[in-house]
Amino acid sequence: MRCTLISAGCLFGIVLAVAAHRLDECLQAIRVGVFTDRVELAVDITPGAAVAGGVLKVIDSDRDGRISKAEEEGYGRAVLNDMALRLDDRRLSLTPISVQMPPVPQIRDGTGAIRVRAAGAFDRLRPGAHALTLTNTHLPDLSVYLVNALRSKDRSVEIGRQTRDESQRGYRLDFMVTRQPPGTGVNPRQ
Amino acid sequence: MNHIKPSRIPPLAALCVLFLLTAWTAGSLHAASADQTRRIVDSAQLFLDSLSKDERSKVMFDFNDSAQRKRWSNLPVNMAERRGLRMGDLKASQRDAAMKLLAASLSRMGYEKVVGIVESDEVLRKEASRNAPPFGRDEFFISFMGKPSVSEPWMIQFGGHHLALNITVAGPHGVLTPSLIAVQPARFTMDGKTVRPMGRETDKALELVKMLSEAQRKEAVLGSQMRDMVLGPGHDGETIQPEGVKTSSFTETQRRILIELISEWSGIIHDEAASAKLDEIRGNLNDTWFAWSGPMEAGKGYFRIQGPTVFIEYAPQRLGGDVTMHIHSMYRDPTNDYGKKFTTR
Repeated sequence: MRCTLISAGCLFGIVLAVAAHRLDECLQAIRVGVFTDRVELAVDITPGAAVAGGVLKVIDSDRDGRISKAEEEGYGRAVLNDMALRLDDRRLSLTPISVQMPPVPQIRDGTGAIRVRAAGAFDRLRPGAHALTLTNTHLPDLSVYLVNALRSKDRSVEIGRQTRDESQRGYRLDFMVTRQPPGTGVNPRQ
Repeated sequence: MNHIKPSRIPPLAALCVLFLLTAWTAGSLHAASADQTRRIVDSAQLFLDSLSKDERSKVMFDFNDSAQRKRWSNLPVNMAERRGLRMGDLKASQRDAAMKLLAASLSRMGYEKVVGIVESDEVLRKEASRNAPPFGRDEFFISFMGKPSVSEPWMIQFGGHHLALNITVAGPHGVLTPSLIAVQPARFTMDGKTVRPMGRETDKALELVKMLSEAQRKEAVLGSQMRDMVLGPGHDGETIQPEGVKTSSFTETQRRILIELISEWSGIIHDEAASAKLDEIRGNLNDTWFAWSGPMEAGKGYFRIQGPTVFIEYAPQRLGGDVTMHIHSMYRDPTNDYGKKFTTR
């Protein structure tokens, strides 16, 4: 019995030592794009091979082993529902733009990234300091997180300090809107 | 009557001499780079000549083949497809010609690093269980995008598990970005010697972060765990906001160590291209950032160097148990990945 356990332990050790893909954690990598009238999120979710079954159960709601378009879209919505995005203390709702699902075998292998793209729109921001916060509660027991601001493509947005909690589930981005692009008015409600 | 003050003549003469020297040096460097391109093209041609017609058709891709361009990964070849010629399918003489082409395209340091990474994969193969992915020196692929030329742009792609070299040759210019440089095991024994293909970058990064003042370190250290690279494979064209400490605050010694650290990636390509690249990076040093996350122990911390024309990430990986034995890194240039500065018309 002891020999069997030792052998199993050695085998597991060898498998761990030479495995070349994500194994026991789900990586959620988010890039945040900030504009004066919207925030764009690029969310890449890569479940490790050892946790992929759990993630697939969430995606494949009818358990038929295939992922339908409706299930793809449903999962995209579920991901976004688990994200609380606030701009200057106002909650922003996120609208899905696209969900790209890799083939099921790739997800099972731990090599497939599920790509969810979304945007949160708002009235054009006034010049000055603003803060965006994001809290990600999607699959917290399985996941590790990365969240980063992209260099802004909007010339009137200056990205400032990024603050994260240790796990990167909680994120705050300070930024400045420096000026209004020519020909655009400032919405006094902002 | 206009008089030229005698005191103004020496500076004018000095300026002329400086101009001539600069022009001569630039001309010499250009000629040296052109010679290097000729050597790479000749080596590529020798390799191509060693192939059958069928093999040649497998190794050649159109320069604008966007699918092939991004067909690289840190993953083993059964998990992320590579195309081109598999080293294990080549005859010894063909393989030798392929390695000579790499030697001509890379610096001595770069070639040794690449061979070290390939050999580390061979160690993985020997240690692997029967069901493990295909590892080892046979599982690396070579391909060309465009026809080897001294004037027209073309690319050499060489890679497999933990390695992706994208070498763009455009006339006298050589570009190595984007390239993925990774290793597992990061330390192994070969012919009785300890080999650490990414040992110098590991040690220099630690030296640099330990050298920072308290105020600099407070800026440099990100207060969150970094489990992976942000801009690894699949993130071409993305630029994240830089973070950490701005290296404009660095002392001369800190700058020297930083440059030595960057050279571990920028110096992989042949010396002429590496020298031009490093000059460019040096010129932007006041607008460059250094960030660190994790323990300040060799090989245990994530770090990132980001400047206007350089982006380097180094991320120890948990897989395998000992993070110091499994390292991923990425080398990019947000302005010139795949040599776009020299190839866009």
